[in-house]
Amino acid sequence: MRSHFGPPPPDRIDKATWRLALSGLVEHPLILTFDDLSKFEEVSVTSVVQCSGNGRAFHRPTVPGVQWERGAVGNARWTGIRLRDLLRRAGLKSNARHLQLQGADRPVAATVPLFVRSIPVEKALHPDTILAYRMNGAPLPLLHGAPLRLIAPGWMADACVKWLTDLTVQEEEATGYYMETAYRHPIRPVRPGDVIAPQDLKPVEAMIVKSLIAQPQQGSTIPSGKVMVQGVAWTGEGRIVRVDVSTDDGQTWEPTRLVGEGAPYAWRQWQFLWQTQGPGPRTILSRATDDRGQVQPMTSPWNPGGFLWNGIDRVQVRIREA
Amino acid sequence: MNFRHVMQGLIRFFTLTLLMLGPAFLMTGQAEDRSQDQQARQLLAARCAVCHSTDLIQQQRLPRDRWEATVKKMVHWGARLDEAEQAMLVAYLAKYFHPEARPVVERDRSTAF
Repeated sequence: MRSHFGPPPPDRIDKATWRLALSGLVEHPLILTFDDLSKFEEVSVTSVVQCSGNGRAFHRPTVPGVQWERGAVGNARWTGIRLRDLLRRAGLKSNARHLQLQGADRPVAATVPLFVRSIPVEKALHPDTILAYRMNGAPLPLLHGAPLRLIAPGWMADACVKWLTDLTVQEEEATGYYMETAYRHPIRPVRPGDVIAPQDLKPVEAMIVKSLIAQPQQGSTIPSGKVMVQGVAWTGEGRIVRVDVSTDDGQTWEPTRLVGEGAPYAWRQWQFLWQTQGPGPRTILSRATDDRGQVQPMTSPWNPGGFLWNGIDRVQVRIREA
Repeated sequence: MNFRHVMQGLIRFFTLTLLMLGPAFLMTGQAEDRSQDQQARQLLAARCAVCHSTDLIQQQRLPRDRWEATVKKMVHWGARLDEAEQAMLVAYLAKYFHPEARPVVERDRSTAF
């Protein structure tokens, strides 16, 4: 689990005393207790939550930041209330454009900027955007943002603020380091060293099509014969329609079997029964395609924040002698 | 004892001294580097690791100008480092955690295909 400052002290998120404040450009500001949440309709959504920097380590030249390879992503069933229902209860004013989100977490030093994000009001009013208090049927764990976090399905996790305490409806995007400087992505291709005009940087929002090979693992030795290759694939506000695998360095591709039912926002498992011919080293590649025709590229465009890596996944194995 | 003996004695003395101390003079540069590195590591532990793990530093591979910008950002955010300490830290980070240093990720995907 990743967060900028770690979880807040227990007293700030104790369900008995915790409060959620909704203020700003609303007709009726609200302050809710945890029990008040049960007055709204309960809904669930299965959604991937992925760090914007997942795969940052694969960008060349290297960029500053946590050098994530593949692990900064998960998929869970989230349960809570529609954010839209809460916003409608408060009544948005006509100039409401953005919803600012802030949690109870605080940096070690007061001089470090707070983690404050905002999402456009359209995403906040989307019927699938929820304030979640359960994860996979259990109360939301502390490191996942207990007692309440945002789940903006299909969007990168920097929008899904944890330990929520303050929602503020505004005309403008949130200010501060984590909105104005961090988590911004160039809207056109850039090269290392380029000076990028502020208007050419927009906040990281939706996820893009991506797949991972979970098995066999990188560097493993596998038997000659039939080997199960499997993994997961997901995209942003859409669904996966196919995943292809190559075992000859991308010269030929074969379709994999998609497991179970496809659902928007969730990741989809895929499997491929590989008839290996060895011995020797081999490279397995996986490439996902979504319902809007987005296909994983060989490598993702370089950007100074190292965000949105979705290059074709790649695992090197060795086939044992028969 | 005449002048010649005195001179011979002095020459022997200096030769011996040079033979004994020569390697020490040669070592001075390395020892200084080691000491600077050690001080930089102490700074990392005392001034950086109070807020975040050193893994976050050691996994980076950045050119000097990016390290300078990063250290400046951290000072702006409250890291207690004076100018000399910042310079020492940047020198250390640029020396060990530069783009050509052994990669954290062994597979370079940008050149793999």
